Amino acid sequence: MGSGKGKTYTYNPDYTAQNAYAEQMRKAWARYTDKYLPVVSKLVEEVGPHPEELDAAVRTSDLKFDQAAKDTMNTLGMYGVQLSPIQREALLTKLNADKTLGAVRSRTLQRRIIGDRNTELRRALVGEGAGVRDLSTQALMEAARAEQERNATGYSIAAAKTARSQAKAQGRMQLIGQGIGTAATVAALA
Amino acid sequence: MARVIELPRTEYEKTLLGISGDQWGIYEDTFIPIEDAWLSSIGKGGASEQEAADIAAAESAHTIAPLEQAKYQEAFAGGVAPDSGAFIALASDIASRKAGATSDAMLSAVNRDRLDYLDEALTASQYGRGMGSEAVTGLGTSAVRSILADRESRQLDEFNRAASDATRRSVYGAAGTVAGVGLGYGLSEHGGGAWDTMKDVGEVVVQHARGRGGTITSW
Repeated sequence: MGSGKGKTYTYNPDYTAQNAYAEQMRKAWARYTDKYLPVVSKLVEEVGPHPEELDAAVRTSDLKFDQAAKDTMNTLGMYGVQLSPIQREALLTKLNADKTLGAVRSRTLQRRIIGDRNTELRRALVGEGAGVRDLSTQALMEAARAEQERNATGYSIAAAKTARSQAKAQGRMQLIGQGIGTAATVAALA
Repeated sequence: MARVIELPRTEYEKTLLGISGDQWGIYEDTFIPIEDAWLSSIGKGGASEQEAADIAAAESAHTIAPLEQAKYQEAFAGGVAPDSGAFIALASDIASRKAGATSDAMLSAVNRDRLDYLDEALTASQYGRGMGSEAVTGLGTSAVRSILADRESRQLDEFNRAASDATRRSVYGAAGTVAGVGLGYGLSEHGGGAWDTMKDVGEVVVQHARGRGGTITSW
């Protein structure tokens, strides 16, 4: 003979894979923010006039022209050339002029290179920015999807609770009616 | 006390969990250090730029030296005397050209190095973004799954409670019928005024039933 109460069954769910997946995704996000976002930040900092690069270009040029002046003197010495004061002054003036022109040329060239590089970098960073924006949108979309599911859960649980409560109330009324009806019927038949 | 359903993990699930764990372990132990080394190598300036400039200067000197020599020989062959003004002019001209070419080569090498850095950093950034995107999708999926799991658990709970309530109502219904029979009988014996009232109600019920089907059993 079975129990009047009936049995209740529950299920112990296994979320091992889902939890591991979520943990892996958390680690992936942490790695993105800790390791990769700083690279993007540095790229953003790269856009600019870079006066230090202009100065470095001039320094390199000056260094090489100073070296060239020494080389010229060495070459002339190697061939036993004795410069007169006038020749020496003329030569130094020419070398200095070349040095100045070299510096101007290097600075201008470097400025153009920086300008071109900035343009390319800005273009690439616009793409990067779109990617970051996509991440934000994607995260929001996922949050909205989760929220929708949570709301659906709320609605369905509320509906289930209402149904249970109403059924309970209906049952009580039915019980009273049934009791009275039975009593009356028995009375009528007695 | 509720009974618990047990559903053991399938062999396929176990295999997949094993593969995932192994591969993630390999990724963390082997590839993350490589990734880290790669990321820390992505930088601007420093030794790399200096090295590039030095190599360019050396290569430039190596390329120019024979050309320089050839120019002098050409001049001597053309009758230019070493102590002449033409020779001095040639020497200074060659030196300036050499300086310009070497300086350009060095700057070009440094700029190439900087472009390499930017390319590498952009590649890293794109790779990282892919990882971030994967993470967001994964976290979103996990969020939804956790909500669905919660819903399933709550729904089962509600279902179990509703089923228990229904069973309880059936039991009470049976008890109510028995009590009604008892009450009817009791009133018929000792009810007085209440009995009359109840009988009137019962007559209506019985007449109504007879009117519908002719017998009480059809009601």
